[in-house]
Formats: sequence, structure tokens, C-alpha cells
Amino acid sequence: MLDILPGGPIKGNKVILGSEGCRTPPSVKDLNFKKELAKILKERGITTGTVRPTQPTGSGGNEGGGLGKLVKGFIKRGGIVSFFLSGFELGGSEIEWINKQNEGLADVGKIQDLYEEIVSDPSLLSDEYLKGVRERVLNGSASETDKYYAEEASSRAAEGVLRPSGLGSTGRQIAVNEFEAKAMQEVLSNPTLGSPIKKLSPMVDKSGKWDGWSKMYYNYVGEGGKKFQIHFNAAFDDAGKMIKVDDFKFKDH
Amino acid sequence: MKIKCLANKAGIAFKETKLPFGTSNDSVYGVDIGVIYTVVGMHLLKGELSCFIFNGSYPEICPIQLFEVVDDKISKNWHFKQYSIDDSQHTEFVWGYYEFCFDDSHYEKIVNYDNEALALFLNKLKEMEAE
Repeated sequence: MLDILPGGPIKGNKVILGSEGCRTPPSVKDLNFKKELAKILKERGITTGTVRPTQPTGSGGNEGGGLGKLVKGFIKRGGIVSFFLSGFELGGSEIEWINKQNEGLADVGKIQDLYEEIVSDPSLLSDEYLKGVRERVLNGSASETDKYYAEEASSRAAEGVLRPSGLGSTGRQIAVNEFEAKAMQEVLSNPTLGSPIKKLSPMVDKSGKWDGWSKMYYNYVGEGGKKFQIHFNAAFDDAGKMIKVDDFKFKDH
Repeated sequence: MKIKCLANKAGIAFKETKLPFGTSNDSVYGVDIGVIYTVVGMHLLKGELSCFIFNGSYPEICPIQLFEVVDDKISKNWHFKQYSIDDSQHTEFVWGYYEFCFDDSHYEKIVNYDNEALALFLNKLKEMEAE
């Protein structure tokens, strides 16, 4: 925990509150990470603002309260912790300002702790955020923070993926071009991209392998912009959650 | 009946409502946003209403929530059938050309790219487009 000094030196629009050893940690300047951090803070009931009782209106000093800066946000970059200043808030009396300041500083401490917790334990990050990280890494738009969490994103993605049950194959599985290879890779890495083939009753399979499963399809655009499908079988629980997949195959026209 | 595609991802089409059974937010359909499709049949099961269309490459049954209706006249050649689903209390309702409603194997053949079934489907589509 850093020694955070209220009313520290102001640099640009930031108040420098403290510093620690240099490292290249995830940056809250990264908007996606900032949103994720704010989401976790909200879930934990921590507000992201504090108040710096500066420049009270009136004749000077802290007497009379009045207008003060609302300090929001948090940055930890290169060991420097700083806070954005944004907006103004009527502070009331000096004692009210002090109370607000203390409340805010308590939250700052929680924010700082959470940040450090996330950096050391990325399992706290949501699936949604890590999915975004993975997408940005794959499409080449990853930020430094995304790269920091790329490994976690990759391992999280692998954790949740259903693997084919391996009960058998009833069609062509070998891709004949790069479009097919990419499409098969996509649907294997996320079978929920597929949709159930409507109007077909649950499968009645003579072999009994996929009895009660549903036939699924996944659309992809192939050579010449033409659309193609991959079919596979999926089993769902009562709530409609996919629990098993199998028999992925290209459908040839 | 003609419908215009507004979304082709379940997560967008069903943003604030329950997803169809077996569908996830990631599910993608083979229809293109802005394209108008002729509906050759409709299907209703467990409160999920779907439209049977040709997406330019193959026939597909998609949830109505992906579309807006731009021509509400239905074909004079449509039929209607009500099915009881075995071993459940659900009933399935089907509207569309005769074979889609009454030939139990027709749609399955289409799904499996049976040439005869596909030819029949394309013929019915052509008729309805010409109406």
C-alpha cells in the first residue's frame, strides 16, 4: 500500500499521490482495462471518486468550505499513482470536506489494493474482458495491457471450450482450403457460435451415440464469398446450455 | 411475405430478451443485414417463431427477431399444420408450402442437401417470389 498524500503536487490535470518501484504494469489508460477495473470496483461496492478539498470559496484557508475539486480515476504507471481531476463539487463545511476526503482516501486504498490483486491474480478478470483481450490479440490491435493478459485470456478460453466427445464421424472433417480450415478452427474453439437447426426433432440415432442431441450448423463465408456450413451435434441441459459437442463436419453442396 | 434482415447475431437480435433454446449470444446466422428475403414458411415451437428463407446459398430457418417485415402478404399456396411433439406437452405449428408442412422428411432432406428436396424448395421459392 502506498503512502497516498492528499493534495500532493499537481502535474497537468493529475495530482501525483505517490510512487513505488518501476515496473510495466497494466495501465488504466487502457480504456478496456479501466472499464473492467471499474466494473469490479462497482461489484465490490467501491466508488472510484474521492474529493480533494482545495481552493474553497470564501476568504481563504479551509474555512467556510465551498467549492472543491472532485478527484476521479486512478492511474498506476511506472510506479506513479495519480488521480484525474474532474469537475467540481460543493463541499460544504470544512469538516464535511475532511470527511469526504477521508472516505475518498479509504476508497483509494481499496482501489490500489484491488489493482495490485488483479495484477497478481488475473483470474479476477471477467470472461467478457478476457474474450476482448483475445480478440484484440488475434486481430493485431492489442495494447500493452492486453498483451500483459494474453496468456490468461488464452488459458481461460481453452478452459471453457467443449471438446468433441469423439463418438464418431459421419462426414468430411478435413478442410480443403484455408477458408474451411479457419471456419473449423473457429467453431471448434467456440461451438456456441453455432445455432440449432430448427424444426428438426432431437436426434434419434440408430447407433444410440447421439440420441437426444440436436443438430447444429455454423455458417462461414468460403471461396468467392460463397456461404457454407459446418454441421455438428450438440447436447444441451434443460436450461439450454450446451454441454457436449461432436461430429463436426463440412457440408458439401 | 418479405422480411428485411436487421441483425445476424443472436446477441444483438435478442439483446434484452431470452435467447432461443440452444442459442448463445455468439450464435451467428447465415443472413446479411439489409438484405430482403422471401419467406417460404414459418415455424413456431415453444414460443419461438422462425422464418424459412433462402439466404442465397442454402435454405435456413432463422428467428423472426432477426428481421422486420417489409411485405406482410403471405402466399396463397401456404398450408398450415399443427404437430404434437412426442413425449412432451409441446405443440409445433408450421406454415408454408405443402411439403414443408406435411412431408416429415422434406426439411431434413434439405438440411442434408438432397438435390431433389432442394430443387423442390427452389421451385417453391421462385413461385412465391413471383406472386
